[in-house]
Amino acid sequence: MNPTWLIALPLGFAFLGIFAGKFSKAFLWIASLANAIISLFIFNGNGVTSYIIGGWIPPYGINLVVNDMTRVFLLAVNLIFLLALVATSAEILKKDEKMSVAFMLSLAAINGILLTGDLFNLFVFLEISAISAYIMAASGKEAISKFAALKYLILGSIASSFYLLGVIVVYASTGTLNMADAAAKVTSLNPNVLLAAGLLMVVGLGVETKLFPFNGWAPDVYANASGRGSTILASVFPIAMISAFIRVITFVINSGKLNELIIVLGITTAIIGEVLAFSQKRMKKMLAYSSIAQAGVILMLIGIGSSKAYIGASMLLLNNGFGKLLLFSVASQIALVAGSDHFENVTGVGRKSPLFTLLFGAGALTIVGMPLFFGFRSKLYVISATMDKSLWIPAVILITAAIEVTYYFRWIFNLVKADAKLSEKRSPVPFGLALAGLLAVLVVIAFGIVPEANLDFFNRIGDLSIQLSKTLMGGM
Amino acid sequence: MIQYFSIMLIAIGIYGLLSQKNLVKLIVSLNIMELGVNIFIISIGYVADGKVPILSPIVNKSSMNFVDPLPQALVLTAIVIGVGVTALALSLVLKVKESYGTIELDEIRGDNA
Repeated sequence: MNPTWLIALPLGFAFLGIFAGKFSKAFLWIASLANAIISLFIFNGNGVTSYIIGGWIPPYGINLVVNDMTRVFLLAVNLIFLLALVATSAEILKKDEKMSVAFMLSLAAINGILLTGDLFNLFVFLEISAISAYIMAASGKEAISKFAALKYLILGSIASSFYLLGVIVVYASTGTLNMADAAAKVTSLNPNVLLAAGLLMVVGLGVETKLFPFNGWAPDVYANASGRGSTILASVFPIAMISAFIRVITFVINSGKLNELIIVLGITTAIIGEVLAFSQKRMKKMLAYSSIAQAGVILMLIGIGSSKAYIGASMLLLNNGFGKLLLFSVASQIALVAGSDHFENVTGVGRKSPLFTLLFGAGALTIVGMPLFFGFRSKLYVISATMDKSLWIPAVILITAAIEVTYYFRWIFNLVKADAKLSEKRSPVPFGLALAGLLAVLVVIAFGIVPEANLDFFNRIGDLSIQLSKTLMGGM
Repeated sequence: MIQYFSIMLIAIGIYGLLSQKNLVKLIVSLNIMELGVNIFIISIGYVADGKVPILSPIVNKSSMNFVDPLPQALVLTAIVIGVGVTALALSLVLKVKESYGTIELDEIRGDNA
């Protein structure tokens, strides 16, 4: 199946949706459902395939690349996107029809980021996804969401300018924009030029991946966006952005000094994120800082860059996607039921409707890394993957996990605490949230308990990373 | 030579982003920075005494001395994206003005610290 449909379909529907009024909501459902099915077809295959776009042969023209890593990420992204739509279908947004256009745009851009094999094409897709992300960030009810979105917009625009500068430095010194071609040619470059280009790109992509000094936008945006917006921003976007980070920073630039910097920044991100998450008084803000910490661990693994580290990183990435889907959709619904998501306000909500507690608890446990859940398998893998590099990296992962356990359990216990202030009537869980949430819980548990042999596709990601670092990157 | 000017423009833009308190001025700084990046990209394709990169009787196939057309195409795309982002930013500033009654950063922060 030609993966161009994954980009063309949502983009076309987004364009039609502007004029379609009420139908644009239906378009959103059609586009995301179709994308989920197409990505399932693409998932059934292996090897590297390159699709030429526009009839120019790759080093000169743009191509889309499907490899084993993209296959897994494409399926995850499109499934989580669909589940997130189902989970938040009960929420009524202001200007719902117009918002659907932004969601379709983001779906197209995210698939584009995962697929493209061209550095400048990646910039265009990054910008499209960023613009739709700004709109999603501004979709909250409170005025502060607009201000948070504006902050995100300014940081994001600076970031994309830096990324563009980095791309141009690479183009000026190698004469190519194709990722595979550039990866082959940068090895003969002056290491200082390469480092400069790499640093510019790390700043550019660091904002979107929430790397430490550039992540100031994330807590406010995640905490104040609408339920659907924050769920998609927190669960779907990290997968695409970190995939872009892997392809550009480690596969194309692949500079040793830069990788060390990424390890240090990743660890700093993880520790700062967990410590700040610990002290938060609002549920969604706590989740936002937890997202930052998860991103830190994943980026640190990418900096290490061994085959096992890539497998661990992609496992953690998917685990974070499904976990945050559960946590953010439940937290948004709880905020609607309880009036706000402050610590005192949500006390006892889970006792009134146990399904909230079940979904929130499952999401929290898989993020924390409880046995039987996917998080346990991925964290175990990560620790065994980093053990031979040096002993203090697994130590950092264990310490952050310990902090995570503490604050997540504080919130779970708070949800089920008996509280007299709460009115006696039960607050019903919307059908969509229950359905999507239970499906996500099923996925997370299934990944946690199936035998290793059934998860072969993760090992293929590892093989691929070795392959790519040598020759074949980007499928020219 | 022109590359130094573009880097100066980028630096001026970043200085503006760091020092200004007015949201509209921030967006202007952002635009100055983007302009610097765009000029930098254009300057990459510069060739001394270069010809127009169009196949014509004056510039035939054998002439290799033409300006690199790719950076120009890239800049066109970047300009369009910049316009879109600026429009979105200004509409967000309008929304902020509607709900906070001001577009000065320190007054907005003072409201909900």
